[in-house]
Amino acid sequence: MSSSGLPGVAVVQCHPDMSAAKPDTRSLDKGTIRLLERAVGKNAVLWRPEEVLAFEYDGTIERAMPQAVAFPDSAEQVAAVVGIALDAGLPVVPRGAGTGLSGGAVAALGGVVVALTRMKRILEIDAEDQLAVVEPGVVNLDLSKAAAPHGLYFAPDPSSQRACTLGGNVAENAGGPHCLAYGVTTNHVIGLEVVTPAGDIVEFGGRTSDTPGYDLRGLFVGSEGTLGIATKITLRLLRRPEATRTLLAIFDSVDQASAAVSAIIGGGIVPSALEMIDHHVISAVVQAMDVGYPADAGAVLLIEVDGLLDAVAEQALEMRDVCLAEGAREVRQADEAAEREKLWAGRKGAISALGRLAPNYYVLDGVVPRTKLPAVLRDIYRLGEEYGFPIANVFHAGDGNLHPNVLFDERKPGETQRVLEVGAAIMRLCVDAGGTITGEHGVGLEKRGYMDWIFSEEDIAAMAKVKAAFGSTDLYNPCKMFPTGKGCGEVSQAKIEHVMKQAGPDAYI
Amino acid sequence: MAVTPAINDAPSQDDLSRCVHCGFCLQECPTYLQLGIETDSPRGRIHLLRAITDGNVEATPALTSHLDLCLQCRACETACPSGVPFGRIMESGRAMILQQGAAPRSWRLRAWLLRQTLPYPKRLRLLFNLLRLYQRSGLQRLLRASRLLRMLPGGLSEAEEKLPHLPSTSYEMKSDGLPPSASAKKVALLTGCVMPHLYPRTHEATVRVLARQGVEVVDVAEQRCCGALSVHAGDRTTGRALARRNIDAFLQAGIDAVVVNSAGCGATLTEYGELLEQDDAYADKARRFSELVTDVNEFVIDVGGQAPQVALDIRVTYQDSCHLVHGQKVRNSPRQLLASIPGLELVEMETPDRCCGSAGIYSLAQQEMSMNVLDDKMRDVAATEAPVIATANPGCMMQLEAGLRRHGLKGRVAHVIELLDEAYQAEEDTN
Amino acid sequence: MSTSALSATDLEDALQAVLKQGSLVAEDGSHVVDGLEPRFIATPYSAAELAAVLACANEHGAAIIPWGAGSNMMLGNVPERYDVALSTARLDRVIEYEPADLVVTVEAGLTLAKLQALLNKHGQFLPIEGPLDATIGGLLAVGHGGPSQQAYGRPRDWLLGCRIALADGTIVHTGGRVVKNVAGYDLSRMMVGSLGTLGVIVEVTLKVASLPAREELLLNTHADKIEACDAIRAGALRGLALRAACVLENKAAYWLSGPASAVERTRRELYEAHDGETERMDAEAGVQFGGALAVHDASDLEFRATVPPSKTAPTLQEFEACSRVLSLGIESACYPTVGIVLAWLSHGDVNAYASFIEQTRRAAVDAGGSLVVTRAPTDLKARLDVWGETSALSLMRSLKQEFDPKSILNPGRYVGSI
Repeated sequence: MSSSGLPGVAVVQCHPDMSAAKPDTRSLDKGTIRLLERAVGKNAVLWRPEEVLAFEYDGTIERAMPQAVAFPDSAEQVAAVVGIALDAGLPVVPRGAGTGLSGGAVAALGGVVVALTRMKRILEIDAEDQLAVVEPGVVNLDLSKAAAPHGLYFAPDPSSQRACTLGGNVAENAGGPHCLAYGVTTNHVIGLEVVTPAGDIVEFGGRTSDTPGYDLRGLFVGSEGTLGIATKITLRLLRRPEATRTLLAIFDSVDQASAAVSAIIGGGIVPSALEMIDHHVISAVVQAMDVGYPADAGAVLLIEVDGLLDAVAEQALEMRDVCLAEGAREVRQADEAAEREKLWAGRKGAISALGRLAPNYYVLDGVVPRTKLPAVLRDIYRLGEEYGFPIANVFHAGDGNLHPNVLFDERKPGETQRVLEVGAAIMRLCVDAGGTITGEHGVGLEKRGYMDWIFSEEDIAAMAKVKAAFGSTDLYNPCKMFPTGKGCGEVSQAKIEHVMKQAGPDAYI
Repeated sequence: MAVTPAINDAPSQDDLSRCVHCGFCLQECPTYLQLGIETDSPRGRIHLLRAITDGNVEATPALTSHLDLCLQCRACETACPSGVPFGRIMESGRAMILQQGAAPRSWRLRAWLLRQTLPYPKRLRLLFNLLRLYQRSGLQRLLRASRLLRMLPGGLSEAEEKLPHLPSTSYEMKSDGLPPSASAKKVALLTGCVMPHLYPRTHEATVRVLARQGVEVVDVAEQRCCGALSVHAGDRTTGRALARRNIDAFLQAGIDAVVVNSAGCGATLTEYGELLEQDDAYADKARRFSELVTDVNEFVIDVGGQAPQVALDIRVTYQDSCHLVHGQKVRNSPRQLLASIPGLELVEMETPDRCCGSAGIYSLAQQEMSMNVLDDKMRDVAATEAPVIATANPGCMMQLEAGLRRHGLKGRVAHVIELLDEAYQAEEDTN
Repeated sequence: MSTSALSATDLEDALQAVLKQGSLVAEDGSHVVDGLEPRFIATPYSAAELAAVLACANEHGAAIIPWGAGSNMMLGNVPERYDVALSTARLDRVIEYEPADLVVTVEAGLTLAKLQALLNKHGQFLPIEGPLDATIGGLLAVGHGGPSQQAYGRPRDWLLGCRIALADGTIVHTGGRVVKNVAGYDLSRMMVGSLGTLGVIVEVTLKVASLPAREELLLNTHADKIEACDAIRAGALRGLALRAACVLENKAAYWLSGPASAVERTRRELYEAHDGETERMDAEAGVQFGGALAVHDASDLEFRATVPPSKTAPTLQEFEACSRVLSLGIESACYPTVGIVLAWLSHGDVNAYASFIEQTRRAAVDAGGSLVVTRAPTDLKARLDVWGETSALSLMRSLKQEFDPKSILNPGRYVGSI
């Protein structure tokens, strides 16, 4: 078996000695198991190594075995599980569907995984006030389906929306293509019920947009499971627009397409989505599915506008003109739902389809100011050439949120290490361009080491104050987000530290 | 039979490594939807199988129970953007565990039972004659009334409940007397192991519908069970033996196509090429054979599918058979055929391509899960208010019939081809 | 009238040492909060200087009230202590503005008027509403959503990142200068609406918007307020191009905004749906419309209730009924699409006001919302908590304890007397 275990999306590993997926032998003592079983029911606890094995991963390749997994069914049960684990000195790791892309649900130091998948009730859909109250295990798309009869939907639409849970979306402050116009998860959360690390069940926000007091819900959203576990979520729903138009603008080069992005954003109309798909990705997508992308294009832009029918027609025309002026060779327009879905299918399945181009890919997530897109993209391709990897880009161009995918074959000796190097160099490009290290995937285990590229010690100390105020300790989803933590040192491979240092500010300034 | 080469079955590293564990499959998996547990999801099962393949864990009863719970419906394959061949991984994974001798007794018993019955038409005939006797002698009514059945162990009473009313005679291939034209396509029908006894009417309808398209249906008497149930249960050795026999039988018949009206069998037949990949003597023949195999819905559409002229005036909902939609990627043809029937209103249910819980012998082996999955399905069916459920596989027909009884719903289950046949018949009656 | 016992001379010396000449003056009556006067007014020239004032105050345990333009100083409970007014008036530089990115970075003391003027030159604007003389930092510290929040969200949705001077004098930054960012905790959001009790915002990076192609105001006259509320909700539910909608007296005021064709269509539909009197105004009037609501000087007390939008009309009715029972004068404006009711009370005494607030607050809370008294006489403030009860108060106290352990920032003015 290869060195990094499950080949796939990301290549950063936490336990180099666990690469062979050997189950952790530190099994839990019988007493703790019994306590957990008493708290949530005998059928709602897994502890045998050959079963908890299936909880050692998320959507990345970060892996670490928990010692037990509990499936609570209520806020009280969540509180009980958290209490039992912390009393026993075991780390607590919240988990939704395990589709995250930064290792947030990976039990870095073992411990008890609190899996929220059984809390999947939609408690209320209030069509009049356009809100929904849900449990954390509800799947993103299921909420929109349930809201559809009322003409409503939930706006954040990460690519994994068919599988990912709303609790996970809250933890990671998930985004998606349509966040350009409608905002990311945090813009849509109006209330939360949270089990704090101290075991208290508290409410943040409520059923209205403004509630007196600190914006704890704003702090909690995107805290990556380090400040507690949301057990009830009140979300804003949006009204389905009267009309939607999707454009596919076809360009000969990525340069032209990025220029068009700048022109659209600078021009005053914010489309509801503005996505770029480069030629590498196009070639994977056309192999995987029939979505009508031209195989010989240098890049395509997927542009969507919605709103009142009258305005949408007008805006679609403006977008078309801008694209043609920037050198688009053709702009196609889809008005009907089925045609639009077809265009979107290519985008949503794009990253997974990269499996057709190479055995492995490493998906990155960085953000740059939109005016810097053309220059940064050129530099990314240049880095790919320097390191000898094709880099496929499919991303939220309207937000400047890049997703470069480094294509490689982990079976070639030394390749994984060099992928990490080019990944770090790309992150550095983003930071140097005035951007950030993650736009929607989160810091998690994967990017802890990059945190001090964008934050000073004092900045991080301020974040630690928040953690302390919530009563969160080193046992609470350890080794996530913060660059340091007790026992987390050995989790990061020495070679990754090295890569980060190499690409770090000193090497560039 | 030819000398059989010893083949070590195990999921291939290539297959396993295609999974990038993105989780896109989770919500398509009926057992994950029921339980919400990663170990009972496609991604989790692949991970567990990978750990066994790599020799890192033992196939303990706790672990194999999660593999047991897999319906092998392959809905995850449709959902997977990376093209992970889950069915193949699960089948070869189960085979690996059986071969390692680590399998639980229930697995070995199941494989043995299947091995002792399915390849033998005479034993099957005897078995079904006994069942028919049981139903017709009044014994069934007596036992049901006495509630003695409830005392049967291991869900056998539910299995008894699921048994459809058996027709008085089993299917026999008969010539319909029409002289085929010289240019007519020559095809053979896969008759299968239990279908002739359970649903002879489907075969009869199929032959009539094929004849109506001007196709000649020839009898291939040497054919046997396709081996699907054994392959699914991990007994690929028995599966291969049956495959070789069928390949020889059908290839000798000099036909243009092997038409299959049972989606589960069809999927297995189209995969003979893979099953016998490592058998030098059969690898080529198997690939050639698999290319001849076609589902009856596809076939009728491909040969031009004449639209019936008389209206049926029924409301129908279509349940995709998993091994048709996910196994063979046939989604549109059955719907096209239904749509071609005048007066037939097709009402789609919520998630028609989600398994009904039949899954071959799963409905017997995993009673509880099978029933939970069925109950969800019947709720979706009931919402359509369609009195007819069309589907394309005998297992699904049996399960859905049981579902109608269980939920006290009026209505019937029919193979798509049966409905098409009804329309043709009505047309002939009018003429 | 300070309650703190520290020596004024020590504090003055220490402050003089960290501030430039002329940055520290003695109180002159210009920075009174709820009748309390500070000893000094510090107006630093830079963020570093401002942070040094905080460090110094922290060391001496001196109470600070951060001060922008002073336009919202009537909000909050009566301060426990008050030693220094810390003004951001001199932190009014534009740090960076790249119109093509729709992102601007400015110091916190810049006024809304100056920022909008700069942005307008490039066809852009910041969709945060409030008094035009208010500072950006102050508006964010208060954090209330304005009339346009239905179309443009709340102030916190436009803040991409900021620099904060903490109580101990360290300056930290949070967020970034890009429109999408999930690295680290969202301390920017924590600061919005925290009324300067966790730190002083010294610099902000904001997302800005393009000016809409067409804007106009439409006033439909209805039989009464309730009918106006219902009409507005019906229009909003149809997905019309509305930036804001407000009920004033018996008029439904619609702020139409968007592409020309969408505005035309919206106007047409609103005309068609209404058979009463209609008045149309241009965009300028619309901009005034946002600011004008804040000024009702004749009243004694001003409050703001936030309820689920469908409860706007019932809440308003409740308020009016209550005012009749207590014989109070009430004026109100409400935003039925976002569930905000603003009201101004007059002609009563402290007892009547207190009992009005107690009853109406209960009604707002029962409806799933809250009620905040945004301006009230000091003697009334002594009788009630202007914020009302809040959930998770102990967590908020912990947060305050972590960021401001000596409670030098706005002591006592925030929820739960934080």
